[in-house]
Amino acid sequence: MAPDDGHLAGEGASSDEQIDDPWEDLKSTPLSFSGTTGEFFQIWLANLALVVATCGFYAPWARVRSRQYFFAQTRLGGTGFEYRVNPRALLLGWFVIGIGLSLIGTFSDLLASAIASAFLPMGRRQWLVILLSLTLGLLLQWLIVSWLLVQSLRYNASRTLFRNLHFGFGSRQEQRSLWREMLRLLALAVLTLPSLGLLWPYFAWRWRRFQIRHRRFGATPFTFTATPADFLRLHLRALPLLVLALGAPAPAIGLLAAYGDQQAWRAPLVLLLLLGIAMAFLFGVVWSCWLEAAAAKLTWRSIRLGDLHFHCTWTAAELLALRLTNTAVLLLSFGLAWPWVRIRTSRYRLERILISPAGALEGFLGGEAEKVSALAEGAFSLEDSLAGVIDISF
Amino acid sequence: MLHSSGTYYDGKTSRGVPVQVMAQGDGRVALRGEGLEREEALADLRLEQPPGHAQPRLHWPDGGMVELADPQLLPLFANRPATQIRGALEWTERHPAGLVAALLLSVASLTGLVVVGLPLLAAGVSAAVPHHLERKLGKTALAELDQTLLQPSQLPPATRQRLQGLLEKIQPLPPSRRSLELHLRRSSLLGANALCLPGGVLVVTDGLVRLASEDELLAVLAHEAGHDHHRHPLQMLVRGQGLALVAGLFGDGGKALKGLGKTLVRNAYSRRFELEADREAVATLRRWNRPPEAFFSILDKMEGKRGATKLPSILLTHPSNQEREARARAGLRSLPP
Repeated sequence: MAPDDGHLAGEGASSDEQIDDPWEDLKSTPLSFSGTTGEFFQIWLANLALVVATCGFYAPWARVRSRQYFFAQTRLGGTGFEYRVNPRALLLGWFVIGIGLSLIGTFSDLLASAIASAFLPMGRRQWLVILLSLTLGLLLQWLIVSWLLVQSLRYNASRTLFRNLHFGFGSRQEQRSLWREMLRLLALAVLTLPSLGLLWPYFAWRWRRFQIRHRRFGATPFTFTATPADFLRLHLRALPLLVLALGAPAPAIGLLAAYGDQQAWRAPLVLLLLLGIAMAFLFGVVWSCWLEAAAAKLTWRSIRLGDLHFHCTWTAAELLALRLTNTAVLLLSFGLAWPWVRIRTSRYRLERILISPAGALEGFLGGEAEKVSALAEGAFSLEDSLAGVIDISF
Repeated sequence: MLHSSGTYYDGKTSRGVPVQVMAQGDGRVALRGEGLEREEALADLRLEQPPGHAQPRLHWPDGGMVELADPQLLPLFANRPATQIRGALEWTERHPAGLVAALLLSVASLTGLVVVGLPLLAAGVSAAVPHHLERKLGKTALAELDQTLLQPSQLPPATRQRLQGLLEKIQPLPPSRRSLELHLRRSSLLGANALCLPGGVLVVTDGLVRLASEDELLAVLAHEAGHDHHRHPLQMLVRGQGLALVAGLFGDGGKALKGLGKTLVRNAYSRRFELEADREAVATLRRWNRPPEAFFSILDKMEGKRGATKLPSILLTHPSNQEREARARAGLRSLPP
C-alpha cells in the first residue's frame, strides 16, 4: 500500500469558509486536554468503590470508563477522541488470560519434572527440574506474551476513533508477520542485557518503528522516517549523564577500599558513599528524563500521517520537575493524589504535541472497520496517556 | 420542537459537516446540513455520553455520528436504561454524599476482604489440600532452603535420638491423618531458630538445640506443631496470594505503597498465627506435666541471642515476648487443669 493511499489532496477536502486567516489551515494546532482533577477524582473514587465491592468484577467497566474520560477530554481541533469498547468482552478476555497464564505455569512445572524424572537419577533432579521449568516457562511466555502484545495493540487501535474514523494496527492477514516481528523484538530486548545495553538504541528504534508503521488512521498508514543512526546519536549524547550517574559513588568506594580499615576514616567515608549514591540516583533520573524528552521529540518529528506532521516540545527539565513533584506528592498523600498526578501528567504530555497543517485533518478516508477479539486487551496496560494516537510507552 | 446543532461525521471520511438535528413529532429525527438531508426513527439512534464534561454523540445505525454542540436533544433519551445507569453513576460521582458513600464502601469492603474474606478463603483452600500434597510442598520448600539458608546438622547421633523421642510426644493422634517429621540443620543466618514448613515438615537448628533444655525443646517443637495443626504455612501462602489479588484491584500505580500495605497485613496475620501456636505450646507442656515457664524462658533466651528490637509491633511478624507470655498464660487459665 502506498503511503498516501487513503488520503485526499489537502486543498480539495477542506473548504472551510468560516476561517478568515488564509494561512490558518497551514498553521499547526496542539492537542488539547481538558480533563480536570475534580472530575477524574470522582470517577476514580466511584470506580474504586465499585471494583473493591464487586471483588474486581467491575474492573473492566472501571477501566473503560476512565479511559473514555481521558479520550473524550483529549481534543484535536475541537473534536474529542472516542474509545468504543464493550466492557463485557474485556471481562471474558481477562478471565481467559488469567486462567491461561496460570495453567502455563503449572504445565511447564509438571512437564519439566516428568522429563527430569524419566532421564535422571534422584539426586540431580532438583536442579534440572528448576532449570527446565524455567526455560520451558520462559519459552511459552515468550510465544504467548508476544502474541498477546500484538493483539492488544490491534484491539486498542481498532477501538480508538477520531472524527468517527477508526484507527487500526496491522490487518488480519498481517497478524502472523506482526507476531513474528514481535517475537524478534522481545528476543532483541533480552539480548540488550548481555550486550551491556549496546543494543539498546537499536532496540528502541525497532520498537518505535514497529508501533508506528503498522498503525493507520482510517485507510491512511502512519510512516516512520527515523533511522537507527538517529537513535544511536541520541543515546551517545546522553552518555555523559549516564557515566556521571554510574561514576558518582566511585570516589567514595575507592577511598573506602584504601582507608576503610582505619576507624577514624570510616564514618566520614560512609557518609561520602551515601552522598555518592544519592548523586547517582539524581543523575540517573536526569539522564532518563533527558533521554525520554529527546526520544519523544525525535519520534514525533519522524512520523507522517498523509500530509500531517507532528512536533513535540517536551523538555528534560520540565519532565524532571514533573516526575519529582509527582513522586513527592504521591508519597505525602499516601497515593490519594493519584488522580491529580494522572491529569497533570497527561496534560503536560498531550498539550506539547503539535500537529500541522491543521487544515489537513479533514481529508482522511475511512478503511474497513475491523473486528479484533478483546481477548488480549487488559493483559497489558500499555500507557493510555496519548489517547491511543500513538502509544508512547515505547 | 427540540433541536440541536452539531457536527456530522459520516464514518467514511474525516470531514465534519455542520448540521441541525431536529426531533419531529412522529418519533423520527431529522438531520439537515450542507448537501445532507436524512431521517431516522428515534428508537434506532444511540446516544453516547462520555464521562465528565464532553460533547454527547448521537450514533446513526449506518455508522454516521453527530457530535452535539448543545444538550437540547438529551431529554429524548432520558428513559433508556443506558442513560439511567449513567445517571446513577454520575449522581454518585457528583454528589458529596455519593462520594463519601463510595469511600466508606471501599474501606468497608476492603476491611471485610482482609479481615474476614481472605482468612475464610485460606482456611477453606488449605483444608481441601490433601496432606501428602502439602507434605510434597513442604519438602520442595526445604530443598530450596537447603540450597540457600541451611547447612547439614553437626549434632551427634545421640542428640538426634533424643529429639526424635520428643517429637513422638507431640505427634498428632490417630483420628488425624497428619504426621510430623523433624529435620535438623545448621544455619549461620537463622541462628537459634525453628521453622514449620507446609505438611508438618519441621526444621530445628543446631543453635537452638544447644541453647535449649529438654522442656524448652519440647515447648518449641509443640509451638511448631501448633503451626502445623492449624495449617498456618499453607494458609499464609493462600492469604498472600489473595492479598496480591486484592492489591491488583487498585490498578498499576503506587507499587511501594501497595507493597507496604501488603507487608503490614501479612505481619498482622503472622502475629495472630504465632499467638495461636503459642497456645498449643503451653497446652502441650501442661499435658506432659511440664512447667509452662519452659516456653517463656526459651523465648527470652532466643531474644537474648538475637537482641531485643524497639520497633513497634505492626512492623513485626512476631508479637513481643511480654504479649506472647501474657496471652499464653491467659490461654492456660481457660484450659481444664
